[in-house]
Amino acid sequence: MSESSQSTIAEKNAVTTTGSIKAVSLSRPPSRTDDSPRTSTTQPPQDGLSIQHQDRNAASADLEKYGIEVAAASAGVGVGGDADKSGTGPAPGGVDPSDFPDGGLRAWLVVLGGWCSLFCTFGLVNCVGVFQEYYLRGPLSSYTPSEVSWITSMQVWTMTFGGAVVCQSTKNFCHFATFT
Amino acid sequence: MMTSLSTQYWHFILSQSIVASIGSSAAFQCSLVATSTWFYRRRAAALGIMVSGSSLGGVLLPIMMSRMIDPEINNVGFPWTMRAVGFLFLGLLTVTCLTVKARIPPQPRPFKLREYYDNAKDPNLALLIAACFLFYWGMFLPFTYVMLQAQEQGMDPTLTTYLLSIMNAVRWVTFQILPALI
Repeated sequence: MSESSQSTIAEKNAVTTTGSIKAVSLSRPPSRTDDSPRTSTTQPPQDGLSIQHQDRNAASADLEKYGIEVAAASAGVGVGGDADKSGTGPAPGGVDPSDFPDGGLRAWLVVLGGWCSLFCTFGLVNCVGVFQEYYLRGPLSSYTPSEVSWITSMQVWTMTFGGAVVCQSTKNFCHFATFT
Repeated sequence: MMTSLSTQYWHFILSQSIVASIGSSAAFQCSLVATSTWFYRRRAAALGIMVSGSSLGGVLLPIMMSRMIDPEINNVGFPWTMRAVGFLFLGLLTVTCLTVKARIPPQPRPFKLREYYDNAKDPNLALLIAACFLFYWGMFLPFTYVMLQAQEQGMDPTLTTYLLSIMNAVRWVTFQILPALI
């Protein structure tokens, strides 16, 4: 079972490797049936003060929890990606806290891109007063301020609630990499 | 773009409240998640700098829009104002499309509604959810009505157009940049 899912992952990586798109290889930690201990859940270091190690345990505990849940559910449901079929909580590569770059050009470029996207999205949300004033002065002057405020408040609600839908669909359907 | 063509109440509801906000949601949620995959220790600083874009948008966009719509200053009109704002967003979101990438690829999982409310039984998370709910409930009230209220109280009309920008500028410094760095 785990071999077939591993080969499926390899095929997926091979398919997605093209000239300009980088394929991301998923490094699999040893499964629980192995005798080799998982480094992320071995006993804490003797100093006991390492926050990183506590975070690593928390991260791996979260993944194991979802691995267990997914394994129990996928037996009956049978819907999902390849990562769910192994049932022993395969950790995606790079989740360990020490793997995060915490800086560097690429990371800060992502922050720049996010800055631009938040300028556009929540920046427009912060202009609700301008919209409210214009609508009441102009095209919607026959409506009460309370009725006109439905427009902008529904905008804010759909933006935040839509995140639940958008994140789930991104997780399940956006297998392709982005440009860089 | 569709908001620029709207004239009726239901036009604005459909174009601005539903369609535009679904697109906005996709853009900003993915940016937030992607940024979180690149930072761990300095995640607060990175997210704070990123979210400061919303406050700066709140500073610049009210000035831009109110000056463009106002017939006495630049009689551009609301439709072309919205299109101009749309083209500005096109350029900025092009940068977003080119730069934002999650370091950890998405892990497809079956959709289970239970995952959304199961963890809410944790008292810390439940309190956090309640706090955020109440915070956002109250947060947008002043942003929506401050300009109207100021005009009713007799404030100079030219100054009311800058009220939102002043509020967002203060918010940018005190609530987004400083806490992120500290």
